[in-house]
Amino acid sequence: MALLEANGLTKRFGGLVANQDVTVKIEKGTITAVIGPNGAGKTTFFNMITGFYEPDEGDILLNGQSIKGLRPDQIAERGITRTFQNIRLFKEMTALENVMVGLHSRLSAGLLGILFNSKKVREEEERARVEAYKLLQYVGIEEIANEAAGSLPYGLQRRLEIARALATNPQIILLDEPAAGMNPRETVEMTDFIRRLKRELDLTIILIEHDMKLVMGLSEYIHVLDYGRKIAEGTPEEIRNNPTVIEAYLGKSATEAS
Amino acid sequence: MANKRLASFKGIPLLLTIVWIAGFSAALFFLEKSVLAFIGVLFSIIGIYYTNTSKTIKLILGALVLLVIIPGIAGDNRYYMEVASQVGIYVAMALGLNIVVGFAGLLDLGYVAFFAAGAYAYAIFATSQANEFIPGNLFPLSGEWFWPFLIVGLVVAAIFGILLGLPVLRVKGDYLAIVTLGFGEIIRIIFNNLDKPINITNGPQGLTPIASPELFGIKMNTPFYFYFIVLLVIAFIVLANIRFEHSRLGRAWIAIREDELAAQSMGISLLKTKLTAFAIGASFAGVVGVIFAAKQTFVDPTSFTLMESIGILVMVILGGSGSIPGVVLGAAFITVLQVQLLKEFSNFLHSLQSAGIINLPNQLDPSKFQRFVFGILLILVALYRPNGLIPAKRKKNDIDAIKNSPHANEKLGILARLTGK
Repeated sequence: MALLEANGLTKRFGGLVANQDVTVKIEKGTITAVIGPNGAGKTTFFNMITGFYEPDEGDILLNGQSIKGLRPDQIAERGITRTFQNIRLFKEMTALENVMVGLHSRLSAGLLGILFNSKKVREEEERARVEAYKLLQYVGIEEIANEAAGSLPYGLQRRLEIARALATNPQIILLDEPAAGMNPRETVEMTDFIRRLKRELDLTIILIEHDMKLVMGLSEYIHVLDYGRKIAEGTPEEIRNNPTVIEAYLGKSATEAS
Repeated sequence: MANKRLASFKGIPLLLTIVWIAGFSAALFFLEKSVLAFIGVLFSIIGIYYTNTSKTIKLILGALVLLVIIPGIAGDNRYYMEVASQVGIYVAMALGLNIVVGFAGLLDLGYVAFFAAGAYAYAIFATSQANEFIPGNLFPLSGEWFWPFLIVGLVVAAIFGILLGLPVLRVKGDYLAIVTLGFGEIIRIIFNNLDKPINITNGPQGLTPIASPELFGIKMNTPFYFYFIVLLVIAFIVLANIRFEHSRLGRAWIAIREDELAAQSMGISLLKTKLTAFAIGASFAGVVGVIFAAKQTFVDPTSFTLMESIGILVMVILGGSGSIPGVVLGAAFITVLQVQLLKEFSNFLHSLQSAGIINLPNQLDPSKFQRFVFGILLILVALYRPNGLIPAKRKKNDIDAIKNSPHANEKLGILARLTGK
């Protein structure tokens, strides 16, 4: 059984069909890419998986159980987390605190415990700080633990966002254009980093990316969306040679010319 | 440049603070009518906050000023104690609103409704009013009931907060401000009209005489006692604010303020977290409402207008939204300005007038320019200190303490999967 199954997802915004009958199966421990031209409905697809949009039709199964209709926070608790295309950190908080927010649903401190600063809460907080710091170490940015997240350079913000997502202890992590705005060297670093996440943390990774070099080098399986429909799926090799995909990206004449 | 100077600023030397306190205390002692001396003593608290010394010494100095010097020197001056307890009431309210607006970022323009809920909760039962709808002629309750009613006020206001929050918190931003404004007015109008069919609030006539608090047979009906009651409540509210600010809950509030979408994908339930902020903020206003009712011995709906909500909001924003010391300063500053400075200035000009030095038309009386001064102040703050007088700052964590923590070698969370790889 696939870890995550999206069956026939359709999402309409008024007259616009952002996703139509999209079916995707994700196996555990794989890196899957969702690609497509601008406006193909990739982010809409992510937003449905993470509960920000409710699909008009279709179902989403995690480990065989439907997660359709759940709120984003409930889906996060069930082990699906994400990063955003335009980085969304809590800018005023320090990097360490950003990661601690990611620990939220795994901590249990309640109103009275906090008010009376109970021993349990103090201990939990200390553990949380340690774990958050270790996560910063893991992504290699522990020296900026006390900096305000909004003041960090772009590349570090990307890493911090991933560290924060990891704090939720996910099974699946959705990366929305993790290499956007990066130079070639940074992109290579990011590629290695994502591969390391999969290998060391047993993570299942789904990513949206425009950088074809990164997509082809990194992903084991690719789904291609165009105008809200899935037009192809397969290994990078298959996708590279798929005439429908080439047509979607380069237009009709390109296929005829070749 | 200015930032560099600020960074190298280590705080006021301890000696200077002590001289300040001693100087103004002496001035207050010898020139009992000197308003400036009183304000000097009151605001020495800020001096203490910025003094370059250990936390314990600061706490001792603060306690000395608040518990010994102010009541010791000004204790038999009704007027000063009245001002001090009013400052306290607004500080406590502003700290409550700070949780809603400052931490959770929910612009609430109907905050005073919760204050009203607390005030009426005590007022109805501490006057004979409750006899109107509860048979048995049990009321008014005696002043000893004031103490349990602090809790009752807290709970009633918290319930109000949740009931109001449930429908209201579905909207965001500007819409939230408008809806809360509407609900605040609705509550006031309900209190204004709830004298029929069953007379619960006695409508526009208000409720009086409300029983003064009593403890061990002492009737606490002067500002002197209320000063201490208010201090006690502020101590509790400040402590709660500090505890919440750096807790799981406080982080969730701030995360929601900063970015709702990201907060949700971190597993934070929006409605639940916002409701908690609303309920806690409301409950603090409720407690203060009970004290207010007991202090004034009279409540009527005119004390709970939109202007009050806006006034408290101004305190929070002027002081520094989300900053505990900032909000305390903002509330103290505006209350003193409101009840003391402008009035004193008016009196001063009147005395000049009666001495024949100036001729002041009645329309130019400074105490009539309260709103104008408010506006000017807000514009100045917006221009020069957009984050408030004392901007909020997140606490830096002690990295060495984290590294040396006994938990440092435990396998935690996702990194536990690293084993053997």
